Amino acid sequence: MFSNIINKIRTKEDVYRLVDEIELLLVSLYENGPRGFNSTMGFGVRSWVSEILLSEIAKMDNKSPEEYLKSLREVLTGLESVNLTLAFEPSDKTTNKFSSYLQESTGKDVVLDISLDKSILGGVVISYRGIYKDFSIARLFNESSQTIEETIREKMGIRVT
Amino acid sequence: MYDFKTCLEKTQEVGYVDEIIYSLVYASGLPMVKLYEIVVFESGDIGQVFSMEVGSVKILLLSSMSVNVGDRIARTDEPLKIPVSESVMGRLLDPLLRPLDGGSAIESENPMSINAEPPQIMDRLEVKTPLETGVTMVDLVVPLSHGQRELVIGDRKTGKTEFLLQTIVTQARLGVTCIYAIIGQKKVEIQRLYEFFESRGVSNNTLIIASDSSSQPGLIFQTPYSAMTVAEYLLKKKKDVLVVLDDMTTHARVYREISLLARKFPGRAAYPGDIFFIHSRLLERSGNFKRGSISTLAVAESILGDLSGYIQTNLMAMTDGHIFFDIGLYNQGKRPAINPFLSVTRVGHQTQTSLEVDVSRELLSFLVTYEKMKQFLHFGAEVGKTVRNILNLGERIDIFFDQKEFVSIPININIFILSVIWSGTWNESKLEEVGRQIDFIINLYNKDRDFEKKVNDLIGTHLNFSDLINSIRRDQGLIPKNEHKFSTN
Repeated sequence: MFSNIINKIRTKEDVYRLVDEIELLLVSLYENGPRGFNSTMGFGVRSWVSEILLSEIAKMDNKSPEEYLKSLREVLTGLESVNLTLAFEPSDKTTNKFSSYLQESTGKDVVLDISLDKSILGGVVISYRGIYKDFSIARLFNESSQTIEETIREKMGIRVT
Repeated sequence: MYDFKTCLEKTQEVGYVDEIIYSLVYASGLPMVKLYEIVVFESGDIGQVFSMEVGSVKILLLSSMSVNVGDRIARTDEPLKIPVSESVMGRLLDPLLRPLDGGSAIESENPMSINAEPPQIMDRLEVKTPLETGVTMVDLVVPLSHGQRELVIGDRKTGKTEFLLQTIVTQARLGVTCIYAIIGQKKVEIQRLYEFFESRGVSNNTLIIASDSSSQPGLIFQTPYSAMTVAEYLLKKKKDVLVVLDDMTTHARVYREISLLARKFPGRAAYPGDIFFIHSRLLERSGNFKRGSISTLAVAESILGDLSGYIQTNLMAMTDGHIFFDIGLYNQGKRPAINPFLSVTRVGHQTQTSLEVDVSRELLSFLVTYEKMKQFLHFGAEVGKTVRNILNLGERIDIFFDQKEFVSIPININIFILSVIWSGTWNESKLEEVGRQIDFIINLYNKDRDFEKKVNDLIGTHLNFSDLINSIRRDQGLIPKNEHKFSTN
């Protein structure tokens, strides 16, 4: 029932934005004129959102639009998030790649909670359901720094007393 | 102590702060976290896992509150450990053994977990050695022993702390290591106690582990466990240890506060159901063992002399007796205000010599009779010679028990003086003069080695009280005379 719209959601920001639009639509159900449901559907929400919502609402037999929107809001706020820390701001393409990879590997509808931290230099730090995995360049550097240091010392003939 | 990033990399688990209620943090994540495990916040604060539910962990903050909602939390995969070493002696430390005296930090190669299991029954031994407090009433009527757990109970300002300090000083001078756990008291009081030990010259054998009333509730809660852990460390070094827990009612109140915040179901007087377990788990860690002993004096505060409070009766059930400081006796001017009739020692008598047992029995029996006679006098009745004799002796024994603050009296000289009083030597003397003579004999015993030896030999060669009294009656030369100050009517 919600798969069409959830498939379009990739990040936590997407969730917040969509939830805001749903809230607006829920309020508009009890308004007339320019603030009414139809006007809001036309001008108050993004076109692809209104398109999907209208087609889904049309498919329903007994449910009212209010019930549908409330259920959708509940599903959206209940979506699990995967925290990603990146050293750069990801493009749409990269976000899509991350999203589809994580949906596939977790087997669930998950959204990305992306934060920016340049100190990790590159790679990614992932945390999901309390599990923390650091695949950053900074960690690799830290891990190998001792080995590198020793190698440099060895090559330069410096002895540590 | 713990670095957030290092812990995160080590355990590969992260949690997020969802809610903060006073000193309790509700967090999500941390899937494999264990009960009582230490966790580190992004801000550097540390906390201890207090309870767990599906999808939520309740964490008790152990350091200052600079935690915010949304902060990350890392596991340490370790229970709360403290860096115990022999350098703790003479120090004033907080429950995590961080210095409060401005001294250097305590370092240890093998930190110890503060939530140790109590020793098993096969590791325990029967109590055999008496524990001298230097307080006449206790040493003669409610004797204590090494490895005993005794409750010290009484209203506020009835002399409990003075008794505890006197016991610590007496024991520290005898070479016993003493740990004073101050639970949630005023900072000024903590400083006063620290200076007291220094001024008495017993710092080398004493240690204060203190949390003040403004400390985090989690830290106050850990104070007695921390003190017991240090005691266990010293026990491993084959030492006899005396632990004073001042006081357990405050500890119970703090635990109640934490439990209510954690939405634990409240029971009697709003205390959580596991309050008995929390205290007994601690007190069971003391006892007499093959390596040494841990004696514990747990303090409980009563209200208006009521001994039937929830926490007070719990503590009575898990200790080997109690010493009751009576507000009524205190107001009458008795020092120490110990009520001998409501005080109990369950194992203390088994460590006494046959003479001490005999003295204790005779004395308690006499005190009961004396109390009855005093009640009888309230009716304004005319009294016969026997009653007069009892009252006369009772008045002298009252003076004998009246002890100045922080003056420790060895048990042998106590028995000697009691025997002199009992023998009737001072029956005709004025009460003030009896007091002066008692002080003179105690001073002489502490200073004159010959007299000390004479008294010790006399006590050592008698097996019962009546023989001792007869010996004193026969040889009045045994009693030293304070010629300048002492005179008879």
